[in-house]
Amino acid sequence: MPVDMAKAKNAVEKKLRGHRISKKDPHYWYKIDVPEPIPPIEIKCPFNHPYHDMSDNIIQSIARMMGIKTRFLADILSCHKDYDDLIKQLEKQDRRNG
Amino acid sequence: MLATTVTSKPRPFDWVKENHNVLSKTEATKTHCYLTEQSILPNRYSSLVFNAVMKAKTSLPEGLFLKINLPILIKQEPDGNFFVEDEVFSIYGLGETTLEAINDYTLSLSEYFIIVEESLESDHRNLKKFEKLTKFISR
Repeated sequence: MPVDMAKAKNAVEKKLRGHRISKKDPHYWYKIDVPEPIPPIEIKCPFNHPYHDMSDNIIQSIARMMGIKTRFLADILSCHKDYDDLIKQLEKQDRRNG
Repeated sequence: MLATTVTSKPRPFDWVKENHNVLSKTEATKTHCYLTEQSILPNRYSSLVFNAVMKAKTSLPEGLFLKINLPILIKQEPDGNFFVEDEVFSIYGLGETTLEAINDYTLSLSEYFIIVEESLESDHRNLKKFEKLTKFISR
């Protein structure tokens, strides 16, 4: 299900504690700090298109960059899960293969 | 820059049949020769999904280039915009046309390379990611 862009931005910046990587205008790249030994997460978010919803294709792509399932990211963006759930999930299974 | 493999089942486009009122058969056949690129990368097509390959030696922004072929997927979003992503790093690009989406994608891929490269100065955890990137991308 597409997610409202403002809601998604709020979730990335506040809930996931993502901080924007500078000098990448117009793109919004975020780094999400995670405890060792989990590799850090860098994601590109389409917040330069504020009047669109975050589509399923984009959510799927960001979820893969984060090493989690699409459903899990959708739950984070729609308020059911938070940063601690993300860390627990990545400790259990990090789907990034690189 | 691109080699394509159509995976969806697009409606066959018969230029001669669909334009018989406008052009003679000879004119239409001539015109068809120039439509190859357009038929591979349509600007508007509902439910468009197809695989393509960004070929080795393709230049990327920031002085980078592709060392080997990189498979990408081109999709059309419900709002009519285009979405391009690769199946290796899951980097994506967006645009109102396929070309715009591909350009956004290549810029994003370069940015990702630089972000990961710079992060190594302070964090060794991205080493695996960078090694994977350098299999495909170089300066």
